[in-house]
Amino acid sequence: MLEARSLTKYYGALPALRDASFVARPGQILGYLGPNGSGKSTTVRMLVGLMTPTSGDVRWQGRSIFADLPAYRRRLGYVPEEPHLYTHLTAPEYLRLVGGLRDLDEPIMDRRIDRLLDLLGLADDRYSTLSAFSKGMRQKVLIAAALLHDPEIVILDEPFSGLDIGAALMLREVIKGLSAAGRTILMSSHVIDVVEQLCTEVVILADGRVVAHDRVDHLRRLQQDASLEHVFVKLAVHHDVEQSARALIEAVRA
Amino acid sequence: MTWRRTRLLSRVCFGRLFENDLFSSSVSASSGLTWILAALATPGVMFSGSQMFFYAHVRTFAPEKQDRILFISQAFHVDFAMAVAAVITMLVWTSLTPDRRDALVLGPLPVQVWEQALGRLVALAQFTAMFAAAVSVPTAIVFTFLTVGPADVGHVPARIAGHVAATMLGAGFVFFALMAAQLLLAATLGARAVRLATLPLQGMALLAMVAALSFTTRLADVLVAPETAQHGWAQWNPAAWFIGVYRWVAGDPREVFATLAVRAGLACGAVLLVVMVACPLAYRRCLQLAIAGEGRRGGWWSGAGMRLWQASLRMWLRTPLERGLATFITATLTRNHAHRFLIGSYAGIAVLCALPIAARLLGPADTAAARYAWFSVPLGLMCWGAASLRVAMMLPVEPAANWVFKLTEPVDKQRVLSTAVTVIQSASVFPLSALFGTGAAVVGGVELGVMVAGVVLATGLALVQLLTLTLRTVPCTCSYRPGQLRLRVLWPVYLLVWLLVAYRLPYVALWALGDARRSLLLIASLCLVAAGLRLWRGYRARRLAAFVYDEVDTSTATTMGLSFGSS
Repeated sequence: MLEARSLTKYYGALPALRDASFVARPGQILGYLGPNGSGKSTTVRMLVGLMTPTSGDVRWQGRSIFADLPAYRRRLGYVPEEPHLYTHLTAPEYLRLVGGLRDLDEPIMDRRIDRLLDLLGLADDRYSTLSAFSKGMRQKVLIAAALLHDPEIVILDEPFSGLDIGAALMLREVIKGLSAAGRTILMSSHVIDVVEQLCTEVVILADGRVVAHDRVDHLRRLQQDASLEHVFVKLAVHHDVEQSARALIEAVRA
Repeated sequence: MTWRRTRLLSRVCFGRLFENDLFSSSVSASSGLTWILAALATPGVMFSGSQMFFYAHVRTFAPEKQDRILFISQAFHVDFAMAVAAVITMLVWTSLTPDRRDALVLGPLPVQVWEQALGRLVALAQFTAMFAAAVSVPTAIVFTFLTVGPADVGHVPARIAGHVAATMLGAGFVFFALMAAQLLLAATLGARAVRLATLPLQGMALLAMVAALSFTTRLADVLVAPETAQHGWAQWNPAAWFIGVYRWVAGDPREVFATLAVRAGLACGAVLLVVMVACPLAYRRCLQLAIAGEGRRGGWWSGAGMRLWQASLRMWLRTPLERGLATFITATLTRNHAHRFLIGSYAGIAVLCALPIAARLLGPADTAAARYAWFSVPLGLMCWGAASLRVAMMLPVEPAANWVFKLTEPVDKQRVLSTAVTVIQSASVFPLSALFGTGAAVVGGVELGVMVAGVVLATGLALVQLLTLTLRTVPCTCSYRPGQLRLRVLWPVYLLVWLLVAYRLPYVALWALGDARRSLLLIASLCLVAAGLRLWRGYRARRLAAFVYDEVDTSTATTMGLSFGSS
């Protein structure tokens, strides 16, 4: 069980996240929603251990992850929001780097890499450096790197970004499959339809605070709305979207 | 398992050292590396080759001078290796500490920070050794065989070993000393302090480089004489330490060289110790800051400076296209480390070339020699300044972002190229002519001031037109391989022009000085040349169908054998 306890993060005097608490359980897909600047990426980075909270804690199986980060990270698969990769490497080289640093057995690692590249449609590009890859192809490499060691916890930050329809549908099924296999999954995304279809529970952030944490169907019932999108707009979007769009068009024409 | 991780990390860090401003992503690492290694190996070998007959002559006809000549050459090789190490360090400056990408790629993996730091250190050591070997080994062999006489053949191995040891240790010392400075800054004050210190450190490295090469002969003269070798300044000069290594390994029995060699060893040990201690601390701090985003750059002063510069350019640039482009060029040239270092290097060479006669500027301007200097110094500085900006404009910046220019490629190519010309003129010709014109007016009277300003201005206008005749693209958008730089074929012409402008033209200016008709004739002639070149450049620009972005197909991987795992 992955647990965020009163997570708070300040950048200098600026609060990015305040008192965020939630739990992601094995076999569950927890959706993490929020507008830009609401503190989603900050939360994810703290959950991954890339950043230490100003106060609060992240716990895995009841123990703080910061007590033994390498041990926690051995169980973790992470797809970051930004496709940062070593672009002078080819996809197999990059995956071997990741597998090597995770101490995977080489024959097993090589078999998995070949299989993953085949399944993700990257086999023909195995001799191209990542600098020549499109955004979607890079995203596939990141997904392969996150799943290479069969992690217990999977944290996905905008995993569908740049993916073609086929790959996105496949990833959806992969996430469901991992959940069914008892993995703990947290997914941050702006694609509300996908979150609605995939996630059992959602956490909604606004202005650095958790404004909702519940099952999707329960949230819809509570807010008396037909879709998660409407619930999200009600809770997290504090301006008139149509008016803003009109103002933007006027600004361009002015 | 730690060794496996270190090996993997060192390989990936080694590859990343080639991901800097000088290597565009479209240039394969191995290709770029070959060019650079060849470029590094050549000067030492060429220098030795060019002195071949001189060495033979001294050995045969003036054996009493042989030791001094050898000493000077050996000192030059040591200084050159150290200077190259300084240049290389400055060029890979941004790759030395971990950045956001390292933090995001390696951060979520079960790797300790000290393992990452160790991997980077191993990569840096390999990197230094490779460049130092390129500078050292070929030259050691050629230089040694060209300088030994038949009686000294038995000393060849020791001399080669001395050359290799001294030059490689010297280069390693410079590399790790600069790195230690950077790591200490990063560990104590953070990555932002490193960024702020970049320019001063680059400037100091450049000055040290110029000073070391300028004082080579003096240092050799001090060390070669037993009575002066114990001088304090020689004992505390890093170049002298490594010359000591050279002589000591080569079998020179004098005690002073053993002492200097010990100092070299201690100095290398000290900087290595600092690097090893500071590296994990700096690494940890930079990783944290890379994630938290310490991205604020510049202060109010840099914004004010840029606004002032843009306001001055507004006088010459009328359209939004020209102004936007000028802002882009200026921002690139002033903020990018590789561009700044290149311009700084040219400035260093310019100052070095001007030094012998620059002292005359401080005295009264009533002699022909002083007046010659008032023309020669600004003209020489202007040549190097304009050339540095022109070459810097050909350095790749961010080839992946070239789509912005392709998408909005202006129909009026001439206007784009003229903007580049205006930027070069505004940054080199105008300030230099104004500065030296004013100085000459104060020291030597209004007539001399006007003449200096006029000649420098008119010559500069013509020179910049000449330098930009081959410009075929939006500045700073190319992804040239080092060897594909079009300017290289024109270097002999440019050098000739520099010699003529800096050393012959001042005589013509002196001839015209004091005679209104001659002065007008000279300045009008130079303006005519500038106008002619401008017309020619315009004609070539009008015939230009499209700009050249020179993209290289990168579909095939060339990774210098950086494959991982079993394959």
